[in-house]
Amino acid sequence: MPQGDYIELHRKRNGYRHDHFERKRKKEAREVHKRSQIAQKSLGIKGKMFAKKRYAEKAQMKKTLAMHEESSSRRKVDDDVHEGAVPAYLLDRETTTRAKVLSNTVKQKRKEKAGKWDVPLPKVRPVAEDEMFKVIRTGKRKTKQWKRMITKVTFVGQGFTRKPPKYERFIRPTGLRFNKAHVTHPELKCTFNLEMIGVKKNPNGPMYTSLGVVTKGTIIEVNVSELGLVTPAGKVVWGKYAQVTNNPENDGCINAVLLV
Amino acid sequence: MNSLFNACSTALFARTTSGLTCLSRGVIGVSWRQRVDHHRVAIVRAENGFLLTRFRASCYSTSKASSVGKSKTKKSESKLEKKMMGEEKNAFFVVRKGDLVGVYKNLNDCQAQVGSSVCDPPVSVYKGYTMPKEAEEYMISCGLKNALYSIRAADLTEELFGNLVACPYQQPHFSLGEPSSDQMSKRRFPEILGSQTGEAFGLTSMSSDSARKHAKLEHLATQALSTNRTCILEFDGASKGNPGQAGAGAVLRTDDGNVICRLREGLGIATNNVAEYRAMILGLRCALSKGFTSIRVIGDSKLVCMQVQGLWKVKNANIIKWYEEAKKLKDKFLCFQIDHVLRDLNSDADAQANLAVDLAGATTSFLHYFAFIVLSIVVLRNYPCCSWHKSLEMVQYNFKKITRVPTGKDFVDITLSRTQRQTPTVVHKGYAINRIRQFYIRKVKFTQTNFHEKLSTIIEEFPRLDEIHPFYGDLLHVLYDKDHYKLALGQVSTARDLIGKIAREYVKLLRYGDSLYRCKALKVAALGRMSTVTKRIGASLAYLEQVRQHMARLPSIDPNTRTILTCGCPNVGKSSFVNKITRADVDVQPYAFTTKSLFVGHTDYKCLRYQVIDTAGILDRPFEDRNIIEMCSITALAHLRAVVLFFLDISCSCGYTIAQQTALFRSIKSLFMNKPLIIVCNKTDLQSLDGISDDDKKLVAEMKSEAMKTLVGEGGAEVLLTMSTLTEDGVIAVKNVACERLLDQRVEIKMKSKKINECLNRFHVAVPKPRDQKERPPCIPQVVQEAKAKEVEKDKRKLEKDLEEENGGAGVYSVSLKKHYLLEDDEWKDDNMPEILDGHNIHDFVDPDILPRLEELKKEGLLQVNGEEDDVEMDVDDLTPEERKALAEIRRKKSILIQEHRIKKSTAESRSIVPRKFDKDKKFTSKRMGRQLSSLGLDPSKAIERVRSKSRGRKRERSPDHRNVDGGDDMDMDGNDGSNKKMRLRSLSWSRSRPPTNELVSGEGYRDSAQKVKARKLGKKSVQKRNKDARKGEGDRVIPTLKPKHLLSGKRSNGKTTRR
Repeated sequence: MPQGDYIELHRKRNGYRHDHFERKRKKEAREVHKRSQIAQKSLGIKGKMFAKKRYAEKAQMKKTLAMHEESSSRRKVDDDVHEGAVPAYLLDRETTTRAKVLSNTVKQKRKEKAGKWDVPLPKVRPVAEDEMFKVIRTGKRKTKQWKRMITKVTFVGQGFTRKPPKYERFIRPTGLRFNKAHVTHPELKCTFNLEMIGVKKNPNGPMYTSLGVVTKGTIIEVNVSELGLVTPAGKVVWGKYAQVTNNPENDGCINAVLLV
Repeated sequence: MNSLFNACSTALFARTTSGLTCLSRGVIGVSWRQRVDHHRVAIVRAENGFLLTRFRASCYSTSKASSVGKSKTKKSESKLEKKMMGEEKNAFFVVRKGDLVGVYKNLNDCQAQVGSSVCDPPVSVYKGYTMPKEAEEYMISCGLKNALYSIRAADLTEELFGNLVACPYQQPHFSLGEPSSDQMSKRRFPEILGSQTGEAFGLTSMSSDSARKHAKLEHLATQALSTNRTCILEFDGASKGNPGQAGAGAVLRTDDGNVICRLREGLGIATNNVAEYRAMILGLRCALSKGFTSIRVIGDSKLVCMQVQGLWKVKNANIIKWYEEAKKLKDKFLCFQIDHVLRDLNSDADAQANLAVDLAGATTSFLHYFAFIVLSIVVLRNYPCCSWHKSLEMVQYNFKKITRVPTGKDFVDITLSRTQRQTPTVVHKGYAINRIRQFYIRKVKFTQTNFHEKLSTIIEEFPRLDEIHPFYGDLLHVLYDKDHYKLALGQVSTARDLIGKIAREYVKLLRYGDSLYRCKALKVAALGRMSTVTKRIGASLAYLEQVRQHMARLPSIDPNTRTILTCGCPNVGKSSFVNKITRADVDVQPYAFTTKSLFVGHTDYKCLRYQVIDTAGILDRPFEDRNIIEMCSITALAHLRAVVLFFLDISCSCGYTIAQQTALFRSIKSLFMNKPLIIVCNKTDLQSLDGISDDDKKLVAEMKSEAMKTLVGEGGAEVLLTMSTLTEDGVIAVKNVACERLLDQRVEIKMKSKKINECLNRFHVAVPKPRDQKERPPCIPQVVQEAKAKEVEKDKRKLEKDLEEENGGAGVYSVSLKKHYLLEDDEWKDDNMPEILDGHNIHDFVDPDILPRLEELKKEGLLQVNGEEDDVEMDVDDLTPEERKALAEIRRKKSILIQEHRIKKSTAESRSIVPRKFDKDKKFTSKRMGRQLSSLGLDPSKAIERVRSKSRGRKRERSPDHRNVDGGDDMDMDGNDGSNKKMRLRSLSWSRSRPPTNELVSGEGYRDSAQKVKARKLGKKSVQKRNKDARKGEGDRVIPTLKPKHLLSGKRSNGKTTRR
């Protein structure tokens, strides 16, 4: 026992407090009631969180119990032969039935045909113009109202040069410009922080597409060279499309799903 | 260092004042601090005569002008000056050297006394101006060279020399540089005055003019030390209101952190920046006047630092004036460096400035530390002079103060709930958008700062392994793995940066928020991302928390103090030794590696505290294979400057032969470099050193010669010692030798170091050279002797103690308490006193005949008793041989019984109750009892019957039914015996075997089943609460805490005394 371990030393010399175990037992016994009190009293988000935590605990407990039970309980051995079972000597043979292949190709073709428009978020809430733009009054008397400021996140290409500000109709504020997006690969189930190359299509209209506005449902093009994807021909894929799945202006980041 | 010395001096203060008052009491002019100073000297002399404080020489000079202390105006100053000039001629110097005090006419003589040897007694010099005639009378030369007079210190009385004034040690300058007494007095005068005003607790009214003079003087004083030195100036200004009552404070330190002086100046009404400037100017002037050529200025005013460096412009007209002045002063230094520090690092100067605020305008105060040189010497022996140790203050290795590191989840909870509690919570859609944005921006920023603060404290509080003492650095590396540790702290730091970045980003976005919803969404996202970052470093935080807990419990080893280190193979008696000489209470067991970590104990030798470190045993194997336990020992061996005791088990009962132990010695030999090494042969109770084989002797001799190598320049010290921790043979000798060696080595190192030269040159310790072979005992004049004799007589009074000695010493002599009664007639003293009880004299109620009656009664009783005894103690001669035999038998038996009983009683506590079946002797069977009874001629049958009826049957009783089964009249239909029935009963459920709960059973006392149901319900309800509280039953009325602190303390802002 090291020198500084005063608690242990004290226990070694004097033992536990006279009512240590009683207190412990009581505390344990009361714990249940206390927890129930909390569960009954907590409201709102706290209640929800508590319930969720408790649920997770209980589920875990049940799983553990089941696991233990499984190890001790007896079952009948399942001797039935499953359908499609193959003897060991045939295991490494490729067995593809002709019909299956056919249907596959049909499916593939159909998919390709429809694939262009098959996106994770097929429908989005339309954004009204007055939500999208803020009117800016100009002129000496602030009477002119032809100038607009975009209130959503925008993507502005690297080589973009502003027009003379006086005549610029749409202002894309620098604070709301983004050039990176969190892109999730749906099959790999992992997310990468990738650079955007451009805005392919904004569902709210071609004008927004040309302005580079990024809202929910927008198709953006991202630089996937980091991912190391390869075309069937063996070339490294550079750009790929992805659809934005969140409201970037509310979350402060762009989340997107890669369209594979 | 200062504080340390102060502490010890104040502790000793009380004890030594009496011896000192003779000199200091008369000194009215000398202020309190100086007096304390003075005491310090004495303390050191008295308590630690053997310390290096022998170097200490302090000078005091006397002045008859006792009014100096009160004189504050310039007028009185000039008056005094004149007075002193006159007095300078008949000045004399009093030198106290150890026990002797000498008086000299001029300073040169007295300096000769302040000799140079380390071994001399301490010397102090005082200066006086008048000498009473009677004092002169009995001063005859003795011991001290050229002394006019000498006297034993013990014989000093106050006012012997008139008033003594502390004489600054640097007085040689006077005699060397300017011999004119006129100048001398001029110079000394403000010195005296300055030191007084310095102590005047802030009520100084000395003009800055005189202060400057003083400073000049100090310049002379400290020139010697400042020639090749830099100094550090800490300055600070303070103003109450801006502009308002302002003060300037500065602290001047030597580059090793000793305070030279503290300065403060009242400024009247000024702004804070002016105050800062003035403070710096004040300090710079003082430093210049002391002759420092290079300076490092530290202040907490960014403005001043930047402007002086020329980085910021000076625009304010008020400041320009002071800026120019500062610039001029700055140019006078060869090397000038100014640094901006945080306010809490500048607290000394800050304190001065705050005091200065209360000073009237244009007054300056100095606090001088004459003692600082002295202090540095005094502590020399107590502190190491290793080059590593350079920091301003002593680094304290106390890892207990690190704040707890919360887990990742707690971290988030703490921070977020703080945000919720400490930022506004109410916001509405209708508010101006700017207000809404601000509301949420504030939340994000607040959370970020909280995260930042908490993470920063972690990073700052955990020691950086490269910056702490290498011993601790390596120990922590061994225990917690440096890489892991650094990685964890690095992660924390990265998280801090990330959180900062997130906050910045979201604040930017929030500025474009156009609705409450959007702002809120952004805030949620921001806090969420910060939390995620924190949660991700959860593992590091958990690791750091564990490290923190372990570190807090590390033994507090001071790597710089005097240390004794034990080392050797496992189980050779290292811990036993440490237990013998300290109170460390190390666990000692007869197996190897009982000690698994470093243990610290403390022991005293010659009034000095030594730290004894017990290390775990080391095995002789390659460095890489050593485990953590061994590595702890290795670390201690490698980094601590200590005396190393290598333990050798010469009896080899530890499991290692002497050859093996020698091999270990060889392999770790390199760790003993530059350390005093002592070979300790332990367990001499099993095997003496002479008794070992010749081969082993050779090995031991080899080790001894190795250890002798560490013994450089010291002859005669032992390096091979024997002891037995079991019989405590030689344990103390080992300790003493170790301490002595260590002390010698430390002193030697210090003497070799550069620093000591600087100090030694300034010190001048005198050795009285014997002129001839003649013995010169102190000569006590007749007057004094007579006076002494008188005093002795006067004091002599026969004490009880003396009486006791005369009458046979303690235990024999009994004190008569009646001796001192004050009565009219002395004869009454021995009279019996009436005993009074409840207001009555007991004697009135005593029958005068009681004594004779008692006598009678006694006689009667005696007769009776004798008669009875006759029955028992029969005269053996009267008995027949058979009877005699029987009697002998009875007596034998009796004695056996008594013996048995005694044995039983002695072991009764430790014996457990033995079950019957283990009663092997079959002592207590009924048969045996029957036999015994019948041997005594009694009929045992009844007794046996009774015993049998009381005892339980062999089989356990189960239930009434069971007995019935045994009865046999109610057999099963299967004709099986009871065992089967039992099984069947067990298999039946309990509910099947009893009537339904609601059914009325006769004998229960219920009217009908409804009543029964109700009663049951009530019964259940009554225990409900009890069960909920987890009480054992009705009797369990424990109240866990009678006075819960959280309910009863503090304001009742939230809840009440009963519920919160």
